[in-house]
Amino acid sequence: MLRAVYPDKSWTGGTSEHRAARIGDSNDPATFTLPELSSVKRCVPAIQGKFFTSPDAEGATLMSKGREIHCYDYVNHPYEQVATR
Amino acid sequence: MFQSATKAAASRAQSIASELQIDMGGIRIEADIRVSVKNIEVKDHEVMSGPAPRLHLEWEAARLPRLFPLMKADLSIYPITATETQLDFNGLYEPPLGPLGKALNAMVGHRIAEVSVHRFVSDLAGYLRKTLAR
Repeated sequence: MLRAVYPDKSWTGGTSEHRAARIGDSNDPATFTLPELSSVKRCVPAIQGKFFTSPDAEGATLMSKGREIHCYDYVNHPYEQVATR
Repeated sequence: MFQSATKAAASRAQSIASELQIDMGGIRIEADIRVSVKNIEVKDHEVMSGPAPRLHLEWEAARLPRLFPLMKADLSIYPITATETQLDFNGLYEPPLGPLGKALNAMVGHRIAEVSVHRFVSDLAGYLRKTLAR
């Protein structure tokens, strides 16, 4: 699993709660490759594909390649709290 | 929490799906999505040492499912920092209608699948944020 880190919050222009949704240009799918995402936080298991943020703007980040769709988001709460409470 | 949040998100996804409208080149397309949790398993995740819950989901259009993609997906959670938790959705869908479906998928099916997935995961995260903030 590959992981990378956002350079800072200013790049995403939002609260940390919604950082994941701010990668890339809203509404404009754009091709990406992993080297381009090397400074981007959050786990990105896809090797290559389309990068897409929905018109909803905030919320989850979505990527798709062919018939595969990968979408991820995160919450500012410890894993133990999310998984077990 | 994760499982109840997923159920809530699935329920909400269905209510949202009834409002799901996508404009494709000026043509408005609507699709109701039915989400179901098929199985829940707890097994080791590649990014964390220890077991992590993974839900197997399926969804399809509530009406005329043969005209819309059938999605099978895994939804898992794992820690990314001590205070942050990742929600990770990985899905694969089948375009309907054979060769004709492939053409339709390129035009609208894929977009419907993307929007419904995005809304589902956003809802799930929103539900967790709201509930855990209490």
